[in-house]
Amino acid sequence: MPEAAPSLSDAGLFWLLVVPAIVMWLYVVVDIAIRPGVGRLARVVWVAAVTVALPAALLWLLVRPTGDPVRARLAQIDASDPRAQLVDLVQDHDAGRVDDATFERRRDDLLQVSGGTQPRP
Amino acid sequence: MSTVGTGIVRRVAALTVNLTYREVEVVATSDSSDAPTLLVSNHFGGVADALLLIYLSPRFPRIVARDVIWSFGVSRAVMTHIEAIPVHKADDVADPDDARAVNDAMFSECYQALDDGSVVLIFPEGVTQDDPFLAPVKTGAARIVLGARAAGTSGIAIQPVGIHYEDKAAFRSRVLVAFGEPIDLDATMAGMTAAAENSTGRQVVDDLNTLIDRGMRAAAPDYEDWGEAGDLQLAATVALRQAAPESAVDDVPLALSERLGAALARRDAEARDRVRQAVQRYRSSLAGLRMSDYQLAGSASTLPIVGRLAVDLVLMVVLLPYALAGALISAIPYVLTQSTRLIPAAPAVRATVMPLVALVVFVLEWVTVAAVVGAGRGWQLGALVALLVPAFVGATVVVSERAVLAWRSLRRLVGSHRAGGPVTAARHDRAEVLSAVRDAL
Repeated sequence: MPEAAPSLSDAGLFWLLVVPAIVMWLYVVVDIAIRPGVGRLARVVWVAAVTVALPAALLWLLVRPTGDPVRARLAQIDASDPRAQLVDLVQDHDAGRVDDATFERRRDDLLQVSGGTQPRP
Repeated sequence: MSTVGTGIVRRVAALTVNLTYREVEVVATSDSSDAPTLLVSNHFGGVADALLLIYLSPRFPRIVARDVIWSFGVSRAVMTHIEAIPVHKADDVADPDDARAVNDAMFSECYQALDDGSVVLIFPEGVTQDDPFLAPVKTGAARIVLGARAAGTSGIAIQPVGIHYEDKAAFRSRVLVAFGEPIDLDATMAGMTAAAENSTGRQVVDDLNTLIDRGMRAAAPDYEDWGEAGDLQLAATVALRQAAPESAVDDVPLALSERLGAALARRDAEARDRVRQAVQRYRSSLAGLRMSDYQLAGSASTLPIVGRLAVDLVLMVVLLPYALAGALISAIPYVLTQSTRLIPAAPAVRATVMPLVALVVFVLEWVTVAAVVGAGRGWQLGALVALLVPAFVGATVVVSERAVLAWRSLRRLVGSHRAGGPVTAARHDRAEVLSAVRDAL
């Protein structure tokens, strides 16, 4: 007698629960391994815990050290970004750290405009 | 309060902030220190302000808040648990002497907290503000630090904070928290000593209050009204987009647009008016075309946009089944959270209600789904579902927000190739905005 093909619900369960569970396990294990502020023994215990009972990952995600949220959220704007250069230029000019001629030249370079516009079509 | 207690409250604040806002940007002029610190922040967003600062404060802050918050069961329990410090307004107490007496207790608690090296958070305006500028800064903050110093605490830092909401009552909008230049109280008082010796205590309080006011104004939004705020921020965004036309991302960092907008707000009335008139013409042209500035500005090179679209598409296809599951789970909480926009109240009130509703309904749905699965299929599967539900909701957020960005990018690609008639006129209006900004700067 031929074997029954797996039911759709089995396949659905696999893709909907098992695959994300494996991905979640991988994510949590890597997170435990690299997250600063956790002792070596604690890392071993946590990896064992989430491997034996995956729901322990939920506990890990709730209690893991979060670090400094300000540092993590600091706006990462490269100083060479022309937008940052424009803002810094305006601030420096307002504070008197940049002379008028330099300011006007750099401002026009960054805004890619010169004085005056054409009549509206 | 125990470390575990503060840890739980901070995690709840972090969860609420990350759920409510699409992006939280932070700018800080210096690293956080271990010094006793008084955080002085603008107060445009009600409870949302407190949640953001609980999440981002270097240490769990002792919050100075109006006593009326202690009037309700749940909020009283929360405020008591986090050891918030009640402040009483003279208007709320029948006998003004009573208010003075209970506020003496408030000052004593603040002195003690600073002496313990804690962070104390106060909103010196005293009220939640619905206008885009600071209300008059009251002297409470200055009196707290001066009193603590007189009681023997040294090394106090006053940290001005400015909270800039993209749209304070909108779910999944952006917010910028700007930590301004800290005021070193000891150094400031040393500079004041000569003058202070010849002045009354009141004069010292007023001088320090002026410094606090200045620090807060430098960090917080400061526009005449919402019309001016909207016009100057759009002008700043247009200018910044012009400076980096190759950028494949439509959002200009708030950290930049707010700074340039603030610089425009400091210009004289004539320059501001010219910028505002140009922006209003441009906005009207964009509305006629049903386009945004990002779409009209176009890109000199389509490669970055096409590259990002391809990455987004792959990500969306991979995550789609999980995003659909997440959408099914989060549909009701999402609708309930969005419905807070319909509350007939001031935006600051909606900014208070929205994150609280989001926290309650999303967590309730999460627990309910896990409990239902657990009751029907066993606790192990229930626990697995409890673990996966936030991931599915996260997938929904990623897919929906990427889809919106992809749609905008596509329209930008199309928009960059459009020409003639109203499009040319709109591009001319954009050039007028840039010219007005150039002249104003």
